[in-house]
This record gives sequence, C-alpha cells and structure tokens, in this order.
Amino acid sequence: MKSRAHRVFTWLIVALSVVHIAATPAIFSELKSSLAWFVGVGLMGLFLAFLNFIAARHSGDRAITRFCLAANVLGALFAGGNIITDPAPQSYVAALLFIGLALSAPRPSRNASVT
Amino acid sequence: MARSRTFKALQVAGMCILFALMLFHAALAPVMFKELSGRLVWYVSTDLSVVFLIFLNLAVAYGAAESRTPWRLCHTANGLGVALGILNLAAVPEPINIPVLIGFLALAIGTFGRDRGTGNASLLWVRGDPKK
Repeated sequence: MKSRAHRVFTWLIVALSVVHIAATPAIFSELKSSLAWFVGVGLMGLFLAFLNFIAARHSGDRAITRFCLAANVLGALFAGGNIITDPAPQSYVAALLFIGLALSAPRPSRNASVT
Repeated sequence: MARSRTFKALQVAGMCILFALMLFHAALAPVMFKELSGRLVWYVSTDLSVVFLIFLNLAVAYGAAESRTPWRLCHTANGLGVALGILNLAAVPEPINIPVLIGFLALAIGTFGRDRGTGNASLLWVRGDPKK
C-alpha cells in the first residue's frame, strides 16, 4: 500500500516537473537568469523523482534509502517554503506531493545492507 | 584499471566543483534578494537540484552499481544537468558560469566512463537489461 502510494507520488512529481519545464517558453520570452532558475525547479523535481525510483528498486540498501530520505526532507522543506513565499493553489499541490513522497518513501532499516 | 580511476577522479571532481559552486550560489542569496519572493524560491531550487544530482550519482555509484536502470536514470539526470549548465551560460554569459558547465560535464563524463568501466555500458541504450 505504502509502496504503491510512493510510486504514485513519484510519477506525479515527474508529471508536475515536466509540465513545469514545458511551461517555460510560455512564461519567459527571452533568455535571462530567472529562466535558468525556473527550469532548475523542474529539474529539481525530476532528480528527486529519479532518486526515489532508485530507492524503490533498492529499498534494502541503507545508503540509497538514506540519500533518498535526506533528499525528500529537503524537498518537503522546499515545498513548505514555497507556500510561504507564494501561497497559490499550485504551491499547495506541489507541497502535498513533496510531503506525500517524503512520508511514503522507503526508510533506511537497521537490518538493511550498507554498501 | 587506470582509466577507471581517471573517470572516478573526474566524477568526484565534478561533484566537488558543483558542490562548491552551489555553496557559493546559496551564500549569495541574501545579497541578491532582500525579501522572500517567488524568484528566491527558483534561485534556491537550482541549488537543491545540484544537491539532488550529487545524491543521485552517489547513490548509484555506491549503492546500485550492478543494476542497469539506476545508471540509466543517472545518465539521463547528468545529461539534463549539462543542458541546465548550457542554458545557464547562454542566459548569463559571464565567466562564473563556465566552471558550472565544466562541473556538470565532468560529472556526466566521469559517471559515464565509470559505468563503461564496469563493462555494463558498452552499448548503453541498445543492449538489454541483463542485471535488472
């Protein structure tokens, strides 16, 4: 159940990130630094999702789940900070996804292997 | 063996360059933004994307080295990182953005070379997935 929720949250973050990056030309008409930062938000979501895909496949590996946990906590904090700076509906949706991902991700277990 | 070590050194150098530049970039945030804003969130997220990219490379190299799919995700992420470096340099053609691109390139080439060194990635996108 938890692993299915994790998979759903991961795919939803991939979708959100792809839509975010695809929206770049509609928002920016010229190349400037804020465009690169905006694309960086989408890439951050994609990289976090990739890390979660790997953690889901190797949930017994303590090193991977630790990296994943650290990234998910940072992602959830980022999403919370985003609500404070921009309390728009899409910020709440993003926060829901990032926090859901952090809560449903595989945790590093004591018995898992360390590589 | 020596070539493998070279690629590993390149990968680590890429990570170190990116991490150092990320810290420098993050330290400039209070100077560039006097108040909380949506642009500050975008700015910080660029740093987080570098952190997650480094985590991804470390997780694959030290945790899932014998499996193909994580390496493929890692190469895709590194390619996207290089694209971000190019976009960043095109948007702001200043000397400080050259080491950023060098860091992304070093990480991508080092990781790919390291993967090739394991003998798995000889025909990365063509061969099947023998070690799922």
